[in-house]
Amino acid sequence: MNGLIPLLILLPFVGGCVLLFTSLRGSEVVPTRRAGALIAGINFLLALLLTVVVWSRVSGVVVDTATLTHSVQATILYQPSWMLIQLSGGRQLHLALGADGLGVSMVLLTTFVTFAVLVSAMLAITKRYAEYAGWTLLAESGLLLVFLSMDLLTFYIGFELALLPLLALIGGWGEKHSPAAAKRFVLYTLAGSIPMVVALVAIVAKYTPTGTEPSVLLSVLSERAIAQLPTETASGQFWIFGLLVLGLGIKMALLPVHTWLPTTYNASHPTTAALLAAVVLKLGLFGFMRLALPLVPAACNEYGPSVLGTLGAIAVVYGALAALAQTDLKLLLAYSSLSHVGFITIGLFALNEEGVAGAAIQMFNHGVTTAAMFLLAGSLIARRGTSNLIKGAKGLASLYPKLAVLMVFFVIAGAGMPGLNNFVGETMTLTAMMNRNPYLTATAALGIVLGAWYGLRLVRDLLFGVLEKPKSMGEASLSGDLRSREWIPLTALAVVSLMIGVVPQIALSLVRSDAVRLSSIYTRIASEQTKTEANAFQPTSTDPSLVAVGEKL
Amino acid sequence: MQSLPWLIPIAPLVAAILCAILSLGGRGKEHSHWIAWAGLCVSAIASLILLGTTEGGLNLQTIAGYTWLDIGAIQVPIALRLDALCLVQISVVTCVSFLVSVYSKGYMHDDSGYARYFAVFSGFVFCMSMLVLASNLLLLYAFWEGVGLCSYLLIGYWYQKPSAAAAATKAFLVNRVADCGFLIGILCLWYGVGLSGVPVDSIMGRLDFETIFAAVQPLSAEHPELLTFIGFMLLMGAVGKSAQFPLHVWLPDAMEGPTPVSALIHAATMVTAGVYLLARMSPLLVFTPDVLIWAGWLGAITALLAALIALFQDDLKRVLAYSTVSQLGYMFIAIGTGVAGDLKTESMMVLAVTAAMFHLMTHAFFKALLFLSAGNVMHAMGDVIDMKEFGGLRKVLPVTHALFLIGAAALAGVPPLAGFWSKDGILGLAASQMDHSRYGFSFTCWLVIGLLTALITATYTFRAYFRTFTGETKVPKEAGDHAHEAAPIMLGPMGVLAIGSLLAGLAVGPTGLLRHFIGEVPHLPSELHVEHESIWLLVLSSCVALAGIGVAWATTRPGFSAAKFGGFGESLAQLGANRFYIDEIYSLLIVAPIQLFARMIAGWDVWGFDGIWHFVADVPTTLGRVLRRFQTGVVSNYAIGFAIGVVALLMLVALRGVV
Repeated sequence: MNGLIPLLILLPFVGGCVLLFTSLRGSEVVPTRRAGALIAGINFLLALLLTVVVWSRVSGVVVDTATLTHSVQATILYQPSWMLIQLSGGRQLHLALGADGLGVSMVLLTTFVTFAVLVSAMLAITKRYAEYAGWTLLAESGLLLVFLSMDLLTFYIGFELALLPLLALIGGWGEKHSPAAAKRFVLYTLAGSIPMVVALVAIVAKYTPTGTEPSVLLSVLSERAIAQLPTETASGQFWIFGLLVLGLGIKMALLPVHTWLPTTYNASHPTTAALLAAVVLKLGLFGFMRLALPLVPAACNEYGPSVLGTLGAIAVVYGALAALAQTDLKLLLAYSSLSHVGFITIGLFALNEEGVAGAAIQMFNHGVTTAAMFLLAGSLIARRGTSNLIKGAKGLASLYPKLAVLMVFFVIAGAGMPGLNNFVGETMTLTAMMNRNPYLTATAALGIVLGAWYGLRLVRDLLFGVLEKPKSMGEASLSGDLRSREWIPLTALAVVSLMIGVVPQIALSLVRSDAVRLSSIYTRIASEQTKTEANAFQPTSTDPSLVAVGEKL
Repeated sequence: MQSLPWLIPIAPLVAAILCAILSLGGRGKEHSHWIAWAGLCVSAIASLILLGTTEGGLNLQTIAGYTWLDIGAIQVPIALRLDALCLVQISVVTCVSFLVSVYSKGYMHDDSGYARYFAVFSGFVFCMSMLVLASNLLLLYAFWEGVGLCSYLLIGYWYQKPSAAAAATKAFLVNRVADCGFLIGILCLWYGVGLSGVPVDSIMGRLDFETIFAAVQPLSAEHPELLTFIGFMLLMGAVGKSAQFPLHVWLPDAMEGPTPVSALIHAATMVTAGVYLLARMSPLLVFTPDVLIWAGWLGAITALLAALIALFQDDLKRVLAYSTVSQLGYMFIAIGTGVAGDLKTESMMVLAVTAAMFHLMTHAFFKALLFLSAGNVMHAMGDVIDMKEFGGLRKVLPVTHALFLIGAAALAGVPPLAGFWSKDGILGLAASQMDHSRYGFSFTCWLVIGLLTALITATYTFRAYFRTFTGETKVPKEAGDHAHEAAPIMLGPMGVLAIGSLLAGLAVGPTGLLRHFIGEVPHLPSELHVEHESIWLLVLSSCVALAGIGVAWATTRPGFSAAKFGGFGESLAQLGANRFYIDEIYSLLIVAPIQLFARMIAGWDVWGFDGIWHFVADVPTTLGRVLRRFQTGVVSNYAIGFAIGVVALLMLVALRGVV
């Protein structure tokens, strides 16, 4: 079963390379057209198998938080001998791959979205499809490496490796100005990579007490982080945390370093944007979940809820307001992603069980709905010739009923309708933040009004009303209602959305034990703090947030 | 018996799914009403059986479903709760739904979205019954949103009409504003129950009604201001859903939907969910008198304001819509009268809830009847609903005329019809506490406003009646030559509603049946000390109703104009016809500034934030030159940079031991 993990990463890598190689020879033949989607499909099935295996091992597991030594633990570990690197001076460097609930849910999302993207791209990408599929598979491979890494080095390699093919996708198939946008994306990413490397090195240095071997393994590092917890201070970890925020913050479009996001999504082809918004945007958040939360807990506890939580709550409102003012569909979706990522941020930095689990679920959920919206946008652009909400044709519901039904579905899901997936994650993250800072919850809750506003305005402007011919028509490559290659992936996404909305406990049991493990550090910190406070003086009034945290112990 | 309650929501759900499949498929759409009828009929029978068998003292039952969410401190089971309050509401919902669905077959025949209509219709009944039966506040909220969605889809049913699309969007958004407050209230309540230290059963979540009611008392002792805040947030949710001032603006526009939908959702059931929420949460609201006073005052303001607007509308459905808003205001007044209770010792709250639920029930009958009558008129008049365009329809639509007259008399409060008893119940409560030491002034005002509104109600209802059905027969050209009485399939259900409008008040009101029944609800005190029905009020309100009808008769006679009342009358008519300019004020003071702010944010994002980063990237020219090399976009350059990073990491790890 452990062999599934390298297979998952290698299959798209090899497949992508082969596709790129054949497309370089210039022959665009039918078998290579189908091959891309086929490989993505097989990989999705493999990921599904891996998810089921992990799910069967973690669901129902009760984590004993009192005796917990690791905050990151792979359910399935892949650590073969070739991943043991011999260094000079007889030193060894262990690398490891592995799957836990948090990672595997992202693996499932990645393979699912890649599959959906490549199927609809068969229609949407009209030139050099094989090459497009090749780059997409390479990107998938890099992304999977991140989600399945169990050490800092592999994490970093995957983190950077995924971006190269994405760059080719953004620059090669987007709008006219997409090469410029791709350059911007690189510049931003590069600005994030440097602090990231420094932070990772500093983490290794920090958790190598004299007389011990340095290690990059997350299991070792997180164990040492817990062991050193009593002596650690937030200010001592401040610089590492700050560097991580810089490095990861850019990837997750943290306010105010988010400005690459609207331009990149707008310039990319909608199918590329679907992959970017659904999966790539989660890299930074996943990095926080994997690196910052377990490895610099003192700083996370001190600055996480206050600084990043606040930025998240602001992003919810800011992104939604900016989306409200957009007249372009792709820009509207880009800003709505910004808003939705805000919910994930506040959940993650509530630093409790509900919050971490809610953030993990919401990362998946937002991936599903936003991928669907971008794919729908692609279908719409292929028919109207423009993504402008004002200039294009209106009243399309009577012309394209399937498209209309699916778009209303995903807009409603995005607006947090109970019974669909986003409601689950948003409610959990909002509730989780309540214990930390009720004002942030209240601020973020405004997002549900604004989210419905821009969503329903979109429906009203595009789908409802009298059928109108476009004022300025671009070139339309498709006509008629959604083809099977468009509506089948979208319906699959809709089914997942409905399933998570109706029985969220299935998804929750996948991430729960890891969320408990991760949040238990913060429960310990909180109880330490209450103890110290109680010892130092008799408190006249206790901070209600501490009471609530303490009460859960 | 355990599975019987589940039948109530499940049957319409199955019907909704089947109809949805039909609407996607090609054939068989014209038979979808059978599916919906079957589902709703099962649901109605199940709820009537439960209502019938619960009489003998059974007061609370929780029927488990499955665990929706369970993590950390959040537990949300899906379970049904049965008590007297639910049963009253669910019976009204399912019975009226079934009757309206029968009517819909006649009204909606030949419509292109026939199956879609019945799918969303059944979906609405599913959501509404889950809302009523939910054992948990978060579950209630989930279906609260669900009925909002169905309402959105049904208002926008004829989505090609821009006015329908706009009305649907407006309804959803106005409700969302209220729901945002409601959700914040729920989250605060979750937090508060955690603070109160009430042990939470692991199966039941913190938001389970039983847990909430157990936590209310300790919470009110320790954090009264938090509890009051929660109460206000719940009130905000209720105000939105029940279209109370200042969030009433969506309901009149919602008349863009098909008329049976207006009858069911926007008169009889969904809009009463706000009242139901307050009734459901009354054990909490007992501890927050400030909230109750506000509820009463908002209700009073809404009742009067909406009645005044209804007086000057020409559109028959809008008259009825404003009338609904106004009548819901009465129910809010009723809930507000609970404030006079002295916490748990007196039974004012149970009387208040009874009065509100009583009016809710009778209103469901007569308002659905009136809307369906208006639907018949619209059907016969070729979708024209402006009362200036037609008149004297008594001879054209004789049965509809009789049915409308029954509904109008019930609404106007003519004794002994349903509306008379239920409205008098509310006014009686207000009158009984006029000498209350603290809230006496409010109660006096509510009584005066209530009586004044009753007068206006009788006037606008009968003005609509006289304008539509009496006088010379006038038929608009849209109706063509075939203006005819509605089909029996439409008149049948209306007949049942008419019987309800005639008798429901008499059967339930003076006999005290409902009061004893609702007195069984746990957490509500059941001893009844206050005797509130007084003869003078019964006589007074009868006179008011008759006086209103007289005014209506006088003002609809040919040659009458508002100018006879002088400048005041004219300006009031102007204000009323323009709905007191509330929509305009909102778009000027709320919507436009938010849109402007959104534009500013969007502009700032491009020119501000991004500009700053451009600036940061450009100013240090030396750094800029270095960076520009990376800006080539050539993948190999980037790869080198990345490789350097990996090597640096490796080297530092390796060198760590050496240094």
